[in-house]
Amino acid sequence: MKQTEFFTSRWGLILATLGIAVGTGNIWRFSRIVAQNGGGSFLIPWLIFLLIWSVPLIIAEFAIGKSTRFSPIGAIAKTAGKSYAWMGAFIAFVSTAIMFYYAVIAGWCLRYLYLAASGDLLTATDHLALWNSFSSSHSPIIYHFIVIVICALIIYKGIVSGIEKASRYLVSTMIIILLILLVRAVTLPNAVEGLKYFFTPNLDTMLDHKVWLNALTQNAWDTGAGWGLILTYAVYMKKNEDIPLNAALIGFGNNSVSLIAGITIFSTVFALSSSDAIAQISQSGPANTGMTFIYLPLLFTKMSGSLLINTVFAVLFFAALLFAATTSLMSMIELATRSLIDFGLQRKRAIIIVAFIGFLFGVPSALNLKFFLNQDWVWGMGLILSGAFIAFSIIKFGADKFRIEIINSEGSDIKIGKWYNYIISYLIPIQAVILLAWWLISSTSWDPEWWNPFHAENAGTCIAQWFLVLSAFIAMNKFFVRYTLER
Amino acid sequence: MVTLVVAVIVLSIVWGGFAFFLLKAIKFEKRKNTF
Repeated sequence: MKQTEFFTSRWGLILATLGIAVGTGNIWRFSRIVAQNGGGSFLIPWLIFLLIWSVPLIIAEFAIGKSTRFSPIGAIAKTAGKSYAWMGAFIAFVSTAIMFYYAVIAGWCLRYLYLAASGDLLTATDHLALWNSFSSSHSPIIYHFIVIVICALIIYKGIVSGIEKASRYLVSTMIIILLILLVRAVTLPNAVEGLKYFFTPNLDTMLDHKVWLNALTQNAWDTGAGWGLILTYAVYMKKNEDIPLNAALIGFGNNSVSLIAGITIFSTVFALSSSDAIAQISQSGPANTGMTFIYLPLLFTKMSGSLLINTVFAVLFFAALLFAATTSLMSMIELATRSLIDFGLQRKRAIIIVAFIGFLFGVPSALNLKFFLNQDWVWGMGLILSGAFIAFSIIKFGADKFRIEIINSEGSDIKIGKWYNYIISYLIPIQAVILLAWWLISSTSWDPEWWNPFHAENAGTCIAQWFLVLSAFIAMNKFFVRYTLER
Repeated sequence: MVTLVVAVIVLSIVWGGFAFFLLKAIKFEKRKNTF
């Protein structure tokens, strides 16, 4: 299929891709993981893994998408060989399965933005009861439906009028909001105590292997590297568009936003919290949302003496959270849509199918937090496998050949050296194996019936669901090749 | 003191790195649009 639509400019591509990378993980997960892993001790390994996991995989995704002009199924088949289309299908499926429940998360953000704007959030006396009454009702389905429809309308308009235009507004507004909140947070009295904890390293903690594994996990989950999403946007890159410099911008831009959010949250909690600040930031909270929906609204009521000013800050925070979630969700919907387009469907028909399926399969997560946690666990782990599959396809193609012919091709502003071959051939696969083994083995300690596939978070449910999906896709490999590459 | 050193290192690598790559991209874009 001839590619006819492209991002109009480099900045449009960068803002859209930054929209993929910056999501709720940067805002509520990063702070929690920093608090649980010794503050400054966590930041050093987190920086190292940015360089040896995130940026190399972002480069790989840009290069594969731009060179093949296919979504993951056709892209992996074209790069690694026709026998491996099933790997591309797995990458596409994992991101689509995440899309089902991520739309529910975006719906929660929309609900809380509405609550903040209406004044009900800051005048509530019991925020836990407020969350429980919302999450146990049918309301999450309504908000889930609204965000799916909004994103589907954006994708329906295509790349330039849809994704690029929406990302320009949403991502730039989100960054401006986060900077306003950062300035307010660090000027709160006693905010410096939060900054001290955030940046103070502890040598003992730094030698703990769990801190390093958590730092790698955070990079795998919050930069969008290895999801196949950046690969999908790269399909719409111009022929003479740069790869390495854009990839570095996305990796460093994503982690810059994480730092802004982290400094903001640590400063705010240490300045306004009357109880143990670290315990508050460390808590997993309902559905792993940390303190976002329970404790932060309480802090907003203490931000100043004026209810109006406090309401403005609460609205700004939940708007930034909603924009971060929406731009990430858009890319997941686009990946599924583009996959159907590669099978021969028209965009307008494909998006209707994806939106309908996305809404339908998100409903169980909207109604049942246990099901939500199960899907978050299984496909969050699946992302590590996706990253390994992307590295494998480059190894199969020939890492040096890939670097010279595709990454350092026409339009690249900077050239990538031989170091890239070693990272993609050895370091990425080793990191993926260690990370998967660690998480699956760890899960045996928190669930005695670790083999039981019907439990929410254990090794058994992961392996069972992966086995079902992988065996189906391996059986369908010829179908994938015939109806994408050979169509 | 150690806290300050770590803060300077982390912020200069992440925010400094982002600013460095952004300026480089702006420079290359200007060059592409000139010729």
